[in-house]
Amino acid sequence: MFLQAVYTEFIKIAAKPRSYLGLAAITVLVGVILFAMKIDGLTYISFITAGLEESLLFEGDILNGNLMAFIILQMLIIHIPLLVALVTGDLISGEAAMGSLRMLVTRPVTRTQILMGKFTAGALYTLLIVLWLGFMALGASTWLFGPGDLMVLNSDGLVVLQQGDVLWRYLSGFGVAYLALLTIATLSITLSCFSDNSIGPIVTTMAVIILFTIIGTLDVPVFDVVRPYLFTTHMAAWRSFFEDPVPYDAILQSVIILLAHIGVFLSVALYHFNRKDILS
Amino acid sequence: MLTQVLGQDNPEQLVRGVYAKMRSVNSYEADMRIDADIPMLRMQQVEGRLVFKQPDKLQVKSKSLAVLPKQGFADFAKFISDTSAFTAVFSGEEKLGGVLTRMVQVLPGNSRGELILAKLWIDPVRKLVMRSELTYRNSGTVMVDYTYGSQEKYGLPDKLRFSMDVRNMKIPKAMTADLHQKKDKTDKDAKDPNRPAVIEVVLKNYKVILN
Amino acid sequence: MTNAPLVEVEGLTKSYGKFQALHNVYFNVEKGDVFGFLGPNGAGKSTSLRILLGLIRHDGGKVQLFGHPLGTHRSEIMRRVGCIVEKPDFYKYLSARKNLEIFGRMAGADVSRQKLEAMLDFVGLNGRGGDKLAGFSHGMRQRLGLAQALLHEPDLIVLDEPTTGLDPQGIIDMRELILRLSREQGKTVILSSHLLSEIEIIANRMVVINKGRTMQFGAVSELLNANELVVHLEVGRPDQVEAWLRDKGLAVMSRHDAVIALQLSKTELPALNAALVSAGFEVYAIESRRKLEDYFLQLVNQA
Repeated sequence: MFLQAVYTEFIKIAAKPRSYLGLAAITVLVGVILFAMKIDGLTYISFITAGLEESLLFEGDILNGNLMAFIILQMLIIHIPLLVALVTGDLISGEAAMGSLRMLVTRPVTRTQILMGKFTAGALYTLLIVLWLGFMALGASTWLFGPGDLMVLNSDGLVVLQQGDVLWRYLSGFGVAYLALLTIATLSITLSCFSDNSIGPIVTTMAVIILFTIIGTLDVPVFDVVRPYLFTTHMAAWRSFFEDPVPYDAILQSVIILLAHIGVFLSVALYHFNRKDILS
Repeated sequence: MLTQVLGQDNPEQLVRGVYAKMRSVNSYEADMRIDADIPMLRMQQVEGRLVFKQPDKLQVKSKSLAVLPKQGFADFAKFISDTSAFTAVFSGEEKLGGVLTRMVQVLPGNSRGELILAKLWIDPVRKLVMRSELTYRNSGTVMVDYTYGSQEKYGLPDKLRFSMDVRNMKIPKAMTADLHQKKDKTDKDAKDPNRPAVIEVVLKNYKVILN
Repeated sequence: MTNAPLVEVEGLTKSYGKFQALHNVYFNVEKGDVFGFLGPNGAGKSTSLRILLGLIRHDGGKVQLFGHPLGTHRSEIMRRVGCIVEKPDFYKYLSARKNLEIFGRMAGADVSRQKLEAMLDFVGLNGRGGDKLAGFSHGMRQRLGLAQALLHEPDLIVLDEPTTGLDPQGIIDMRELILRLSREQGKTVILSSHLLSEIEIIANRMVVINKGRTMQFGAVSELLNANELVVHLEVGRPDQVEAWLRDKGLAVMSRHDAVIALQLSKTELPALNAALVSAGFEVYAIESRRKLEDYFLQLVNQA
């Protein structure tokens, strides 16, 4: 019955026009970035490498598909949560608003199964978004710009990663980015359990992300204690795979914190949804 | 006198002798391995093939992104090819790796050129440049240490070690979006961000075409 | 357990914060019943039905279906229950058939195309399966609601105000559908309504609830006994008439101005009329209602 719940939830997601908004937005944004880079990419790059190029000569194409993919990911990964929350934040509250939650909850399935079905479908949708982003970022960029070594700008300088050393980093990075987005998806599903309108959880999810990001970036000692535990602090953990050497300890810590958030959010959602009176 | 023992009194003649050795080669190719240690730029070892054609046509064939010094490689050979374009003076002697070298200061005649001063450590016996220190108008000083092996007779080194100052990059935080901050300050860049950039180029499997 | 009621509800209580929605609701439904759930708006009908369907948690009392407590056997019970709560709200962006398939799947029903079409046909929506719900009228949604309630072939069907918002023909069609389910397929049906006439036409047993309490419960034929009337007499000299009636030992219930209400059997009414006239009283109007009807009308008026 759980599989039926997942299947039906995915049918619903697939039938909703808003589900395609995320995919369309990614396609358009990637298209815009690639177009801009094709036209003016060298200027963009030279802004970073100008200092080095006074005394060093770079042999090879810096402006390649791998770099484009990195730039795209860096630019888009902060906007993807909205696209995810747009769908996942609506999973329970949207049905409550529409009234169909009444009919759904009277099926011979437990509420835990219903919620887990929605969570799994939401997780699959999030995966689809990440895969599409990955496909567009890596596939389209490589198609347009060709392969090459990846020059990454980290806060402590440039790192040049050889082409053969890049794909596993992307795959691992996508894995961690997925975990970060799944945390957002779980948060919005949890908030969705508390609301009977579909906009509330979406807006609240974004508000939480903005608030936590501000707390995370404000260099004020009072926030030092909480900062490492905010999920937003670990949303850019995917980037760590592009450092050399890869800080596995920091990544593991991020993964654990993100998983812990998912666990806590899901537990709260299950507790509340199982006890919730369906009055809508 | 040591100089008499070494048999060279005219610095320009010494430089010309060095160049003559280099000039005997029309073109060459060699497998190349680059190890770079550049502040604010971390990169792995790069392998490729170096192709050189007289007088200063240098090409790097590599699947990887290679970093070479912008100056001090091919332009140097071209510079010393025309003895009328510079003035050379001896400026002392120094032992480099057990080899006694004569130091020659080379001043270009044309004061508007990019290269403003070259200091060469020349092994007068083998007519090989063991070290060069080239000062450029805009990009500072590049020091190159040469190690010779199989292609010594053509003046082609097996290893070059470039050392130069690189202007520090200012990285805007917004461009990195790197939320993961490195806490450990054991990193070389963190310890000494102003250290010179060092690029080591190892060349082997030469294919030399003589004139 | 063959004689055990299909639904047993005892001492049901529920509060929302400080508001006590249900104080004491009790009733039971036997297999094969078309059971009416009657009450004015806000009486607690929907709350009771939602508790019965596991949508709302009750605070106290016993809720047992098919011999099992709802709290511990919810999924098992719901496999045998089909329902429409309030109005059937479907996924507007999906077709009728897809909606039916989704709810059918979640109930473990056969969702083959053939079965779905047969069900759409049964509720009178043949040929409309491919249409998006966004274009459906309220009546069509109500029919589709019934289809989703029946698709997994439940033993008990719970319908919350199934005729609300339907046009007269829609109401007749819905009634016929419910009666067919009961008579031809032997289904047990619970339906709620705020209209006594509705319940009277369809149900064989009923419960009347008001302000969260069970007020009346039993067979419709007994509760709406035509012989037990409440007669409203509009007369001249009402004081004297009231005294005359009490003197004759008749059960005077109330008096409002010139209208006196009293309980009477249907057979006694002509004789009373004749006696009043021969005693010289002016009788301007006689209005008789069945006892429950009169009671329910009072409830509705109070609500």
